[in-house]
Amino acid sequence: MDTNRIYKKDMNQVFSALKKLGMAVIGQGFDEKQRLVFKEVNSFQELALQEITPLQPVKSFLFPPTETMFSYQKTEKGTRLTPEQEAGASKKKILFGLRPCDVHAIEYIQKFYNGNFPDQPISHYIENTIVVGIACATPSNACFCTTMGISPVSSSGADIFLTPTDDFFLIEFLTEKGKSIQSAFAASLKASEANDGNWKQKIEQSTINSLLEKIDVEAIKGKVNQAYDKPFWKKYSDVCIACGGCTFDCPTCTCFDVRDVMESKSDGYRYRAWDSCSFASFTLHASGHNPRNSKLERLRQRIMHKYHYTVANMQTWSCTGCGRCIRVCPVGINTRSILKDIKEALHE
Amino acid sequence: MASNELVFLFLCRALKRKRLLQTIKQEFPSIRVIEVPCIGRFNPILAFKMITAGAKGVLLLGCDPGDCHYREGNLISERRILYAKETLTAFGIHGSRIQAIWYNPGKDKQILHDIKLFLSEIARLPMLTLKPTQKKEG
Amino acid sequence: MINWSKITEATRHYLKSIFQPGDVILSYTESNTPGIMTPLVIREAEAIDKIILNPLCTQNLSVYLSEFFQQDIQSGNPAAGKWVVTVKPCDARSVIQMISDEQIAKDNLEMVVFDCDGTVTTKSLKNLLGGEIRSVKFEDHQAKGETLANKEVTADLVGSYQTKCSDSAICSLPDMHDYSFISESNRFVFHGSEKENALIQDTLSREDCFQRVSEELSKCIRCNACRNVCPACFCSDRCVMDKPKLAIPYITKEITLDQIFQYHLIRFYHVAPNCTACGECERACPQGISLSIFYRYLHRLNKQLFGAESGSSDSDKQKLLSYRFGEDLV
Repeated sequence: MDTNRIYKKDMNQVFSALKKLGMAVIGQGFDEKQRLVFKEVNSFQELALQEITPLQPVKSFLFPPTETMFSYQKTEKGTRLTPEQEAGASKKKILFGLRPCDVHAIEYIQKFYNGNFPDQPISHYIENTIVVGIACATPSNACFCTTMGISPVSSSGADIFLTPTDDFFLIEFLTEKGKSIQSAFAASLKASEANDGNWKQKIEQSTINSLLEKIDVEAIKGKVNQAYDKPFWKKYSDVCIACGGCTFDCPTCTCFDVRDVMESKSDGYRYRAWDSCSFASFTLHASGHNPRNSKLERLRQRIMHKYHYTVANMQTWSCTGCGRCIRVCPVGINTRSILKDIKEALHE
Repeated sequence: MASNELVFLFLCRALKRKRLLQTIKQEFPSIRVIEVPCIGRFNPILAFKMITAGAKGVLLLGCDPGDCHYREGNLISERRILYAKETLTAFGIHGSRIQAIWYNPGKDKQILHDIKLFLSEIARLPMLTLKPTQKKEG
Repeated sequence: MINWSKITEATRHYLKSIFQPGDVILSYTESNTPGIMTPLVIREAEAIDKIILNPLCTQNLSVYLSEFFQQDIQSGNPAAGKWVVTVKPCDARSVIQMISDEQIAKDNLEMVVFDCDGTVTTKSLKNLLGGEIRSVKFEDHQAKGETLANKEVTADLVGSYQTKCSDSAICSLPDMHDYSFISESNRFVFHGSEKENALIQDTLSREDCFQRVSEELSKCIRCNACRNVCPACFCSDRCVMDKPKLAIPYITKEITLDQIFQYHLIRFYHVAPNCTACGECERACPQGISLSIFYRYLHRLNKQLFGAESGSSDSDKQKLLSYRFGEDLV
């Protein structure tokens, strides 16, 4: 695998070249109110890669918060369905500068939506997206990627991978998709130097030193459901306000609701929108019965899903340790504490 | 009739007259009349739905306070309507899009005059285009 | 300037003196996330010493009360004792408002208000201390933090408090004749420095105000955090936003600008008479939307219409269920 240097001062050339290829570049930057968000950028200066990762996850660019699936018209001859084709689905985009936690999340989303019944719109979005990962040098105090088995400098899942230094990035083109846009970078690529191989390790070490202690979750992998009836859940569900913040900001939360809207006696449409298992109506049956009627059951289910059910069904954790759930929780519920409580309850 | 020209009129049963309804239909084709048993039945979230869907305004016609057939319906509705107007104002939408007028039953001429006045007032307001703006990525 | 350790000590002391077996105390303690406190539910006297009060106690604990009271009613098994809640002055008005709205019963409640001279959000604290922190302590008006790089950082909190802390219309006590107030001076004094923060509904033209509102609301992802954290939103599971059976719904779950407007219009209209401007909706919003634009306007409206802030007296009648003849409001 070739590694080259690309200097930050040359990045604008790259961005113009990418634009000429018809690609939209999305990365983290500040909006007009100084909030850190993922947004479309036109120049390298608009990016703020030195900051922690935004609270908002990047999944909204792969799985829009709302989508009209089709519209219907009832006529004497029958009902006609007109599928909606999102113009945005075909637009080629580059997610520029995603940390390993977010890149792993995209890998998970891809695996999830390409299961037994491939989700066509989302597969379409992912097909047209190129992921440029970056080694993480600035974690937040809520990050726990190493706990979930992800290294802060892991390039797995990325099409192109960057390792940042003060003046330049080390760049690797890892997949066919990544190589397909190499031309945009070609003019600015410089040869790497002898000790460049050490940068990744340096960043990894420094980031790991900044992280809070790693929790050994391998010891409870496959056994988390044994904590189902333990008493510690109440401590969290008592104060949880079921706001849904953790699910909406989680890069691997994939649940959505599908509803129909009648616009008139004969016309209407079907849409899907992000939904949350924290909401009371999530499992509400048409009969009025709700199998998860209490906050405790819903909170426990969320943890079980991330740390047990996907392990059992898809052989993977669905948490990447990005820490957004901890950062957004208005009442200070900490997922790491829950993991520690599970370990303690299982005597691991 | 584009949805953004519509005006909705909530009319309480005590004020409803057949001739009045016919005249409204003829003279003001942009008005849709909704009959309610009493103006106290009016729920502002309906008005919000109408306005966010693009309607120009919502006019409420009810009996004079003190004359309500159901005793207190119009009195209860006053605070509700006020909060509805003020909520719109808080959002930068003209509160005058919702207007309530009180009458003694039988004042058809006055009612038609006031409807005309309301329509001319809201005609000057800018169009609210909230729909359809599909949120794309991000 | 208040001494938080003394306030914490005095509150613990008072709670220990009134606690009876069967009571449930709702207060604050340290969470495992640096920079935020977490609510604490106490069912045994020994746990009272876990209570910690400091400028990070931003949550409005009254939001749990209606849920707990409803659980009592639904379970048919009322709590053996009282619900005791420790609140800041701004949140005390939320508790009183809930009593006026008949969501909680005064007889089963003991409200303990502790003195406060300002709270900071996690975000402001991180900005103040220059970034991510491992831990933080408070002394007088200073925050002492340890960064991820193990450096010590100290900063003065004054100037970083939540906006509501500089508004004497929000930082005000309700009628306290049946409730306790814990402070070193035993008197409530507005500690903030009154800042003139004009409402955009006054300063901007109607069109510009609408433009600004549209920009802010376009960030909404309909996560419902603002609704769930709001004490005035006590419909909880029966909320109109969650009615799936209506064929032509008042509101859909689409995240389009018209539905976003509809959501916030419905919500602010519904809470308008009861909103005590506690600011939790703004703090809980994962997208950082300035919801203060709406609640400050409605808070001022209530004061103008009824002569006092919402939640001033527990004998107030519900505003939308009563009227004064000849009010001539519309």
